Amino acid sequence: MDEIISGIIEAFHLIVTLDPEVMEIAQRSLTVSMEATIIAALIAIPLGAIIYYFSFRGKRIVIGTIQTLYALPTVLVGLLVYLLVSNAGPLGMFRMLYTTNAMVFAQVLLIIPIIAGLTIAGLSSLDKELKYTIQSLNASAFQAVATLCREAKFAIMSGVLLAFGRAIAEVGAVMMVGGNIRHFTRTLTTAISLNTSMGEFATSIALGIILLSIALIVNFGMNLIQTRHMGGEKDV
Amino acid sequence: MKKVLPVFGMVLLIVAVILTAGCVGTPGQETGNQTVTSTVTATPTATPTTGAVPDQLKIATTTSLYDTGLLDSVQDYYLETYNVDLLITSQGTGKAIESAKNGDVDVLLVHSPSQEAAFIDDGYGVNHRGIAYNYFLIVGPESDPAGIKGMTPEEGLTTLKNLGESGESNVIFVSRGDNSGTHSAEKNIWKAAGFNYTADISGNPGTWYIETGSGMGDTLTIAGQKQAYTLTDEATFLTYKNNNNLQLVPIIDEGASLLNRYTVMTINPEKYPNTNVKAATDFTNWLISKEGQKFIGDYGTETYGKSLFVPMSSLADSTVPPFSIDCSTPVTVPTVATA
Amino acid sequence: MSEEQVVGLDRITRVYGEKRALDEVSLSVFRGEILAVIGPSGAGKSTLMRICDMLEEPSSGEVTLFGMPVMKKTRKILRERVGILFQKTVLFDRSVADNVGIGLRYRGCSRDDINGRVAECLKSLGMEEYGCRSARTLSGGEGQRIAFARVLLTGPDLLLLDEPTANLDPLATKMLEDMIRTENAQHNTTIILNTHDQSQGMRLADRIAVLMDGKIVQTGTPDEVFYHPATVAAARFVGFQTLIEGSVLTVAEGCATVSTGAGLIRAPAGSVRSGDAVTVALRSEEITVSLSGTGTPGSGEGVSGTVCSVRKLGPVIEITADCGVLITALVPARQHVADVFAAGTRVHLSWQVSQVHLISG
Repeated sequence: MDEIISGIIEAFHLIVTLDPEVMEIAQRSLTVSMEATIIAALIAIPLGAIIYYFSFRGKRIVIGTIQTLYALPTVLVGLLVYLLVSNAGPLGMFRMLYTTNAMVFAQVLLIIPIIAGLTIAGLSSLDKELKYTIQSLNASAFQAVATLCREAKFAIMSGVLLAFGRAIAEVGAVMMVGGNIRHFTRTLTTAISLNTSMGEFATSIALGIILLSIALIVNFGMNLIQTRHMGGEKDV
Repeated sequence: MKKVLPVFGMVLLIVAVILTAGCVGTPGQETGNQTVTSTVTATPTATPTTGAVPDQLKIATTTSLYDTGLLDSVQDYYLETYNVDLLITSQGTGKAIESAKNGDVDVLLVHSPSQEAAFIDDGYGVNHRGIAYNYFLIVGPESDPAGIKGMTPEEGLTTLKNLGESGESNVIFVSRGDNSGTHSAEKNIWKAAGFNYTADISGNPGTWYIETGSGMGDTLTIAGQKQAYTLTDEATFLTYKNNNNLQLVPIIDEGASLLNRYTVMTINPEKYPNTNVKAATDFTNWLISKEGQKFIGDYGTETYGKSLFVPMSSLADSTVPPFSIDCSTPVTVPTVATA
Repeated sequence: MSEEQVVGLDRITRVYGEKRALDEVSLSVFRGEILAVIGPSGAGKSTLMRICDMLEEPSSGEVTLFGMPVMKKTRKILRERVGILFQKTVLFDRSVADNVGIGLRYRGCSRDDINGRVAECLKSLGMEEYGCRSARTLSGGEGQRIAFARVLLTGPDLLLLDEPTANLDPLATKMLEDMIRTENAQHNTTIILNTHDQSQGMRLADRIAVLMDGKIVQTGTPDEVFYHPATVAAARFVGFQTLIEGSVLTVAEGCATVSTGAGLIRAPAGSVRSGDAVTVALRSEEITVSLSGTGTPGSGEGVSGTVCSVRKLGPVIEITADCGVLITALVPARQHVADVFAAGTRVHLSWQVSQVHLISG
């Protein structure tokens, strides 16, 4: 009990005084996960939209697979990226292992299914008449997909934020491919893991509080978007 | 779509900006306190120490060495003094060696003689030098329910096994079980005590033998919580005991099989020509230099009242058993035979 | 005069799993005409629309638009000439002006061109000050008019309207109907209109097709469809409440005498012959109700019976009497009518012979 209380007090001290190491770690976590989320969104939203818009053989299987991959084990992604970017692996020439780029890469793989899947779900929840109207107005496939994504923007954005939350809270993959190197690849989650194993509970708690705050802000943002969305629907 | 990213960014950028401001702000205050002159002359673009981009050296090491904090101190000192950024990733010895074998790091810092020998023999490592040593400890609850105090490590573990298998419920041994240096030291003790580790211990566990598969710190926590015995390196134990309310004390701290020696190796550039072999050579030479050895020997004296590591250079002759490692001959950049 | 065929459907069948939404539908629609497709919900009207708009492909059969067969190659060109409006108002979550202009944007028109035409269009609707508003703020009627304007701005030669007023109030319905009529009159646009509202079909259509259970059971002028339904189901759908089975006894001078459960009923013979099994169809509003023994049935004829139910329907009262078979009549809801014709009252129901319609089979 004492450990927890003194840990929390120490944690607030670290946060209030903007402890440089804690802030650096938090900032790295944010940068890496934001980068990963933006890259993943740029890939996954068009991907999801294309899967939604076109009919093709095996479409259901593809969507089912994407949904299954929501729960993609992070260590599996870590392992895959590790093997890919390791100096002995196919992408070894870039010497990417133990860099933030490798971490971004792993997180991108991790969250592409979430964004793509929720993009498909968001688009599917649009009225089918909307798709018909766009087609009937003779939009090109690109115009149609762009218009539909714009209409589903709230749902898609929720997906993007959810994906960001998963990326920043993930520990297995970034630990494996980032190596938890101080001043270089250490993130909130890997630092919590390390500090706990070193018995530095106060730092762990401080980092945990920051992680939780980020999750709260993201959640708050998501709620805000959804309320706006609902409010909009009432007007119709 | 154009609207999606800005709104998403807005939510997150606010956080990022606040944190960035915090990061930039604090070092500024520090430099202000340290040197008045540097703040006067400093231009916004110049860094206080040196303008050159630091070289980077990737090091794989074991959790038991990293968790002591020694390498973090070395990292800070080395960056400041030599403008080389040591990028240190800590894993179990097994995984550290794996990433060295894959050429993902430039330097390997471990403490597992048999695995080191295999690594060198397979041609993955060169410039093998000893840097420091200390002793493994068998730690356990103060009450010592198995009564093994004063025994040799081999006798102690044998007694634990016998009592544990006879159903003595408060006799438990916690093992790293992760192929780490500490784990292989444990295996060596079992071997010396006359057991086949795979068949008799790991392959035939009772409730008395727990494998955590985790780092040294986690394993100590588990042993503390369960009031069990475990094998630990001295440095992690001291660090951990100091940071926590760890209810464990050293029970057996003498015996030849408890020697724990730390060595450094450079990844053979013949296997991976794209490693930073120059910086690796410099770093090895620094570790065995007077300066480096003093740094290692001094580490921890302030906090723990005693040093966590004994510099290898303090030995009269490290090349004889049980150490059997060169600790003083400077290394040179290995030449790569061109095909 | 040879009419130009705009839509040609040749034995179109559309199957969803087990269900045949459309079953061998053949239909021609000609340039400049308004064809109303009527039928109960689930009859396949919307499927028919989607197939005409190339949004869905038929399981079998061929579609021809403007004389061109619908194929992958021709779809893009044909779509330029076809517009569709759904029952559910489709508005994009952007400004009213953007909504109206989006079809032109897809066609790659210049921004200035779009702005000009959108402004002109909004002006003609009397909605010029709505341009900058978010489309979400529009009322149902306004929204549907904007959605319609969006389609019209692309200059379609064929308009497909799928229950366009089903969700609108009477005033908004009238405004949209006016727009439909104007478009047809000014641009000679061919229009197919789905509706379950018979009176709307009556008001707007040049021709009506009755679609039931995926089959077209009748096409004809509104008068033909409403007063001479081809099947019992169609008769029931267009408002014949009393349908009595019987057989033709004699046919003389264009007048058939039919033996029914309510006695002998005379009707214009049409094409029936003596001995045919027929159904006698009577519109409730054509039947006059009087108390037995008071006044004469006049020039018509009728039957007597006992009132078994009285339902007030606002301006009219629906009286059902047992005359051997049940016959339903509508009478104006004057004072005390409901009391006068209370259940159990003996009444006489009468009608003009010319208003009786016989359906073969």
